[in-house]
Amino acid sequence: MNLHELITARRSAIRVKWQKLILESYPANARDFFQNRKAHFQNPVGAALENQTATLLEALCLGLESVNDQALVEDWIKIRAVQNFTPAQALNFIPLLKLTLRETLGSDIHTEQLSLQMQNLETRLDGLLLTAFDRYMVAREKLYEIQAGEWRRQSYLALRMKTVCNGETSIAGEKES
Amino acid sequence: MSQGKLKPEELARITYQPPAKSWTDPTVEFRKGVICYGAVPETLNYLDLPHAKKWQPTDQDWKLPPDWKKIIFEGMRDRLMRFRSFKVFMDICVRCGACADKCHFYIGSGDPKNMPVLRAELLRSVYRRQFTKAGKIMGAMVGARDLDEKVLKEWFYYFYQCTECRRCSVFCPYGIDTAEITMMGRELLNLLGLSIEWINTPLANCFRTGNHLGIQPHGFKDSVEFAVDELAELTGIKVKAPINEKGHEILFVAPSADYFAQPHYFTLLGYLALFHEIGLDYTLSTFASEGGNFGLFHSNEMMKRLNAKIYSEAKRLDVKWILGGECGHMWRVLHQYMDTMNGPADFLQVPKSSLTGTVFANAASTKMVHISEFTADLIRHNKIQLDPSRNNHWNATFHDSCNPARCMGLFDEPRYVLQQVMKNFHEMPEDTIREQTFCCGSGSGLGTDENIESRMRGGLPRANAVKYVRDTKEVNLLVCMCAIDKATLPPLLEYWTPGVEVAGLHELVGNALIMKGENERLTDLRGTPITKPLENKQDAA
Ligand code: SF4
Ligand code: SF4
Repeated sequence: MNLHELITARRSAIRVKWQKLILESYPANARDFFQNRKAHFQNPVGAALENQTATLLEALCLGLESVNDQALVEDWIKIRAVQNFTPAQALNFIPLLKLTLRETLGSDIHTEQLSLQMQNLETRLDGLLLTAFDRYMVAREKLYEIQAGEWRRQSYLALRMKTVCNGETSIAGEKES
Repeated sequence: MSQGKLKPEELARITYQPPAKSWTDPTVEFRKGVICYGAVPETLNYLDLPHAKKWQPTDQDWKLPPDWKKIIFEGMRDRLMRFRSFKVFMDICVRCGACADKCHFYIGSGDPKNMPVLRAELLRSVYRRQFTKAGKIMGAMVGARDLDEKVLKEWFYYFYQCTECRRCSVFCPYGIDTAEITMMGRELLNLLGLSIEWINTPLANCFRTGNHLGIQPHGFKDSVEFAVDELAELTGIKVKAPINEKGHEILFVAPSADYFAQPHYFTLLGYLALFHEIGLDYTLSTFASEGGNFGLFHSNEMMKRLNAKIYSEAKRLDVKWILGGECGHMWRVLHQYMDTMNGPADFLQVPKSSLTGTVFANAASTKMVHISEFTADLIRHNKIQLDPSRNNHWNATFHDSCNPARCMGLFDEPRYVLQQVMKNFHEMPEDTIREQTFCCGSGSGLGTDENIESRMRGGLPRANAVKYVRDTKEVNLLVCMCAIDKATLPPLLEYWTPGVEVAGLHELVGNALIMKGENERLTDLRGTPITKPLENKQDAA
């Protein structure tokens, strides 16, 4: 059995354990809510967790090489970026996957070939962590951009009020808003 | 074990876990990006509010007056006597939990104190301790807590993380309205000069000039004239927009943002075009130049003070009834409180459309009609000509703004209008619309920039439903009827759901409206060429 087959065979145990670890970053009531409230539109955080862990594991089973890393982390990162977490906390779901894999599969990694595959996978996950960090920065920068946009909107409003109320007909900066 | 001895993955796991805390621990961290700035002394002084001081919520020292606890307890006693709803809401919650997972702030953050039941419990626990026998004797055993500075800070933190949207109240079997508990919490904080700048500056402006933006009468007049000119450029028709003229049938009141902000302004153009086309006999007022009322987010007294201008201007201008524009919270005040606060308006008549003969019996008491009801009635009676294809470049969904939806039950009129003025319309999932609608996450005075992170997570459930129709139905426009929505949904969608714009209902009415003698319309009211027709799409329902 190679590592991909091993992961495929243990996929649901890995997923349950990994989700549980990720959810530890939330208070107890929220863990239940995020995990158990199945209605997608009533629980977008839980739905994103479900979805993102499923696609990431699916990609692992298939070997990860052919997939778009960004799509594997994007939704979850955007959520974590606005939930009061430090950057390390926000991105920790990938180290937690490594931890889960080692704890779940550790006793099965007894051949040299498997342990080599595991090392490769971990390196690959390190790469994914870097992608996740990039996406986290994109999300945070977007927040600041939006914040700056709010300031611009306010000064545009003030400018427009001033211009209109002075009877001028063209409004500088109008295109920007 | 010291951290140095941990393996890297163990370290990762440990830094990841927040400390387990009981809900009774009131400690909160005021982080940048999450909390609004404190009110400055100038505005509090202008409004004759007590304990004005230079202060920020992030300060250690909140400069409380020495007898602050006494002030709070007396304030609570006074409100328990004056507001029966407050007393009832303090007593009757059975902690069934039906409301717990209904708040967008809880759904987006997982912070348990954003569960409506716990938000209310922050105040209720102090009420129990101070005002109930059981709480006085048994204390924590019956969920009672002493008031101290940490609890006060916790109140501030969570009562300014509630948008007073009332979604939770829809699910409470006892009808407990946590929004009203938040209002009481904010009133109590006001007694110590603890409020936020984003609410108090508009209040001071409104008190001075009649509108939140602080536009003076001549400025208001100029802005209306500017809009009239712009509409003439777009349509070839110069409309009349009377201001402060006595003896017209109707006083029209809109949120002041409609006169200046984007995309609100296009809705104003829509109103002006419509009123011209049907020959509406109306006037605007420079003093009642604001339908919105940030007093609602501050205190009962402030709301009443600011609302008084509407009836007083209706009387001065000698109109028969009042028509109101696309604002959200304005309608909560007008529909639920105005009549008893500043009415009865016996000098006005029960609103009747002179064009269709329809009597708006629902407004028999307040004498004020929502523009979507008015326009729906016009369309129903074939009083206007429409070309829905002029909105073909839009593929829309409709966001029920919290207040028109949950405070007025206004669900069908805007949808009816929308489906008459455009062809491409799709509903969001049913558990996210109508009375169950999700808040924009920025209402009740929280729509500022310093708490942007909190707004984004609060608005996640709304944006998530928009994303669904964007991805499955190619929706590119979110239509709403609220000035706060028009300001706060664009940044929300920019973060979660890029590619979807925001518009008011009457902007689309204005686009579709065929005006007698108009030039051929080459652009919509935004000046965007009408060139990219989408295939017509409409939900079967
Ligand atoms: S009123 Fe709205 S924001 Fe406030 S607790 Fe209820 S659901 Fe949450
Ligand atoms: S639904 Fe009503 S009774 Fe039940 S916990 Fe919430 S506020 Fe209390």
